[in-house]
Amino acid sequence: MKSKAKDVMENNQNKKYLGSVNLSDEDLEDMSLEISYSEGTRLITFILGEEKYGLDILKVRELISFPEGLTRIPGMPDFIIGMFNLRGLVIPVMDLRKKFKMSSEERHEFSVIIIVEVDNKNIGLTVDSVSDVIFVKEENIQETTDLAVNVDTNFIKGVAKTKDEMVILLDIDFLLSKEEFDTLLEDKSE
Amino acid sequence: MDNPALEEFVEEVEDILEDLEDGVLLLEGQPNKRSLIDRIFRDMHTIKGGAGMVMETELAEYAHHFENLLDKARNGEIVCTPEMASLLLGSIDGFRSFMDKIREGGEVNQVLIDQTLEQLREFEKNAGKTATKPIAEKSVEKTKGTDTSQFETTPDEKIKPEQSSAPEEKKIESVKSEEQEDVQWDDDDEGEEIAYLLHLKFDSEMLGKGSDPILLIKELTELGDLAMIPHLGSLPDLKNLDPEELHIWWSAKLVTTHPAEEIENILIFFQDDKNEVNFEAAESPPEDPGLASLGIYNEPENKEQKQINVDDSESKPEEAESISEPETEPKEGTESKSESEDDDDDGFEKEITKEADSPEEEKESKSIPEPEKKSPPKDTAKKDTGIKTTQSIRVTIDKLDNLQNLVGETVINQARLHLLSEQIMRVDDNLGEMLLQFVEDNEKSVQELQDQILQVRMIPVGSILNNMKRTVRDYATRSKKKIRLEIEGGDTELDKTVTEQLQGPLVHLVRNSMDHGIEDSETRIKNGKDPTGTISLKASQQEGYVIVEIEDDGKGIDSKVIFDLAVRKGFLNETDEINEEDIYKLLFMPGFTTATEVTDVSGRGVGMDTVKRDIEALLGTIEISSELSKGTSTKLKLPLTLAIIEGMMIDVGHQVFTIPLLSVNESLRPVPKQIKKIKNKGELVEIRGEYIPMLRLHERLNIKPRFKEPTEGLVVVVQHANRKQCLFVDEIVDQGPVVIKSMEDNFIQVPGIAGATILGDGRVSFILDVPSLVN
Repeated sequence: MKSKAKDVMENNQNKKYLGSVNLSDEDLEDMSLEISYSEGTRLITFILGEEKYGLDILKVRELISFPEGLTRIPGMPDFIIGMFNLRGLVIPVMDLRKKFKMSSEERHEFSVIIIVEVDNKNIGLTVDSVSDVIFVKEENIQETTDLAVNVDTNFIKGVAKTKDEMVILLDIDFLLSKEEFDTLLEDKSE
Repeated sequence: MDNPALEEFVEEVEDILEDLEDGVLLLEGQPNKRSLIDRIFRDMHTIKGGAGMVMETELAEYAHHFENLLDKARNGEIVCTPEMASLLLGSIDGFRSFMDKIREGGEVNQVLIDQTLEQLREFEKNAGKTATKPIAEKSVEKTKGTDTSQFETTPDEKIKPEQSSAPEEKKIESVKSEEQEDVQWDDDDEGEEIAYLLHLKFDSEMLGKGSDPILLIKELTELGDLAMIPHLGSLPDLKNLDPEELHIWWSAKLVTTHPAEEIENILIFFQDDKNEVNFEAAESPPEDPGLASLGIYNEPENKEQKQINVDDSESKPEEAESISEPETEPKEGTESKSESEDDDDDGFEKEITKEADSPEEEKESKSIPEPEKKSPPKDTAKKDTGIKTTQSIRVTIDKLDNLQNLVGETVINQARLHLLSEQIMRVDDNLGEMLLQFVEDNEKSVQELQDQILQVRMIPVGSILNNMKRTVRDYATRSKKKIRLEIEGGDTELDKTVTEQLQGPLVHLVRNSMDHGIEDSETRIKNGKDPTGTISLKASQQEGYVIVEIEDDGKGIDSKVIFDLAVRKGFLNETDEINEEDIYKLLFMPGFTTATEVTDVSGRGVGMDTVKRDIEALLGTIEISSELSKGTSTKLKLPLTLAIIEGMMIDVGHQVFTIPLLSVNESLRPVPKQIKKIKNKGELVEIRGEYIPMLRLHERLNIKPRFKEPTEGLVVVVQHANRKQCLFVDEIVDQGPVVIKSMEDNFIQVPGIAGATILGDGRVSFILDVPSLVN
């Protein structure tokens, strides 16, 4: 029982803000009180072109408006649009539109950079605009292989359905993995 | 390892092991030096005590065996032979294995432990047979007894210097009683160091007569350590000062092994009616020619100066923790010469007030101030050990790194503040002016802060040079070659990170020298050389670099053999002409030296390319020069620190890049006739008769430049090792210190870029990787 309680505690930490609280009769009978959450993820959603994308909010470090000075990195492909100084950290920025080979769009007042942290590395991602923070239950996430989206499906984990819309889940770990970065160097030599 | 006590213990033991290793190596050369055996014994005992405290019983027991051995050595039952030294060195490896176990978990190297213990038993058995003189004198036993009982009664405690300073006194007695003993300690033969207090007051017209006290002082310095206090009390105002008159007089303390007559002989020339020049033996032990023993710090208001020394490699536990005993007089911690200068200033002031108060009295007092005389000798003894006191704290390198990053931030912000206040100036003169003033004042503190932080990270390079002693010793024992290691400039300071990363390449180079450089004794004798080969390690500081030279007097490298090999390996054509310097550079080519062929024919070992890579990773350079049958010299040139470099900011197509200033030779705007185009070889710039290849930086970086021709822009001549390269840039923007940020922290290593930095306006600028641009 104890270990179960611990499990719940851990879950608790991950999904502090989750809304649903289910108290099963069994649990109540068994011991004092146990709270369990349904499985799911909190996502930050953003707009890119026509579609809405989502990524795990635990990976997001902060949102910033477009920095004043970006310095281009010589020899890098065009979707790495440069590096900038975030309070002393030198952080690269990836233009997701360019990365996903969409038509590029003029920057406007809603243009935002999402700073994500993957493998202790901080990387900025440009998006058209950030829209919301949502919670998606596990059962509403559909692992997909064939999706009619404009994006290379390698970078997509699946699709999450909410009441009135569909959110494409980005596989941020893969997008910013060492293997992916290594291909940047190959691109250069070609 | 979450236990902080354990962590502390491991760190402490590691320091002790270093001291122990050093001690054992010294002992091998001077087997009868009592003070060394004592030192090793103390170290061993501290390990044992500490191990007991942190419940590492196996370790404590292990240490106990060796402590016993050393105790026998102290009692003269055993003489330290090379075998015993090997045994002790083996035990150090054993201890290190224990440390690894504690730190990383896992198992201790039981084979090693058993082996060393077995050797120990073997040794003790043999030593027991050959020991000629079992000690008998009870007096000696007794003094020893008190000595050790001091330790034994406190098994639960780590041996703290407070304790060791007490036995110190007893040792004075015990050493005396040993004189009647059969065991002859070299310490006695050497002629003990004695401290003399000198009083040097000269005729004020001395200078006019063509004499000079400096000459005397110079002669005295040759005898030993001389610490001097000038007395400036009678120095008149500048306007009344007659440069031909001598107004200063000195108190001095000389610690020397030379007999008193020699001092007498020097002073005799100055001893006449008008000069007051005399000396007497000081009663304090001579270890430290500290100023406090001169007795000038006798005034009650003397503040106690505590030294916080953040220094994680040097501080030995005794220095770190010994705290002055309360009953002694106030004193100041004098640590090094440079600090003693500061202390001198205090000294001046005090002397001045003192003399002003009682000039008569001062004249009468024959030699050095009264308190010295009043205080009983024992007191001064304690005092002297107290002078060594340096308080230090241990700080993990991570904390320093963070601190340094923050300071780097502040430096960058400072530049931004500067820009901002200039902008405000345009709007509001008054406010802008005030702000600018403040920013400029602040800049000094920030600069100071940065310097201090860098200073804290600096550790003497000697710590790793000394590690080579063991490497050389072990090799020499194994190979039957005779090798002497000379170390010079061990106090040269380098950033801790650089120092640590230097260790690997250094071991490699020293091994190469031993393996392929130094010949065996017979060959050396045949060639008319000293049968003992010499490897010297020299460190020195030169214009913002630290130079480390590894030199041997071995057989050298035959440049012809390298050339032939290079041709055979296809690196060169037989017809190529190549100068001497470039030939040695071939040794760094990957794949060139991995084969044993080189070892057979010319004598330089494996993996020089790795060494080169390691040194270049430290932003350093490496050069080899050699003379056949005379020896080989390898010179490493390293930056003082990795975190901050002097940079030259250049503009290419409105993008600012930074070139490490260390690599920049010069910059110029060439005239058209200096530019030569050569088919298939690109462009060359002729500078003072030398043709240097030119790289159009904008092409390499794929940037649209402002200028198409070098004659409109500038060329910056950079150099890496001996290779020069002209870089065509639009213009030079700025020059100054930059904080290096690793590209890999948040991204990947980008070819051609060594790192990034943040400019004054907050933008990122990339630091160009000169070695890759040059090749």
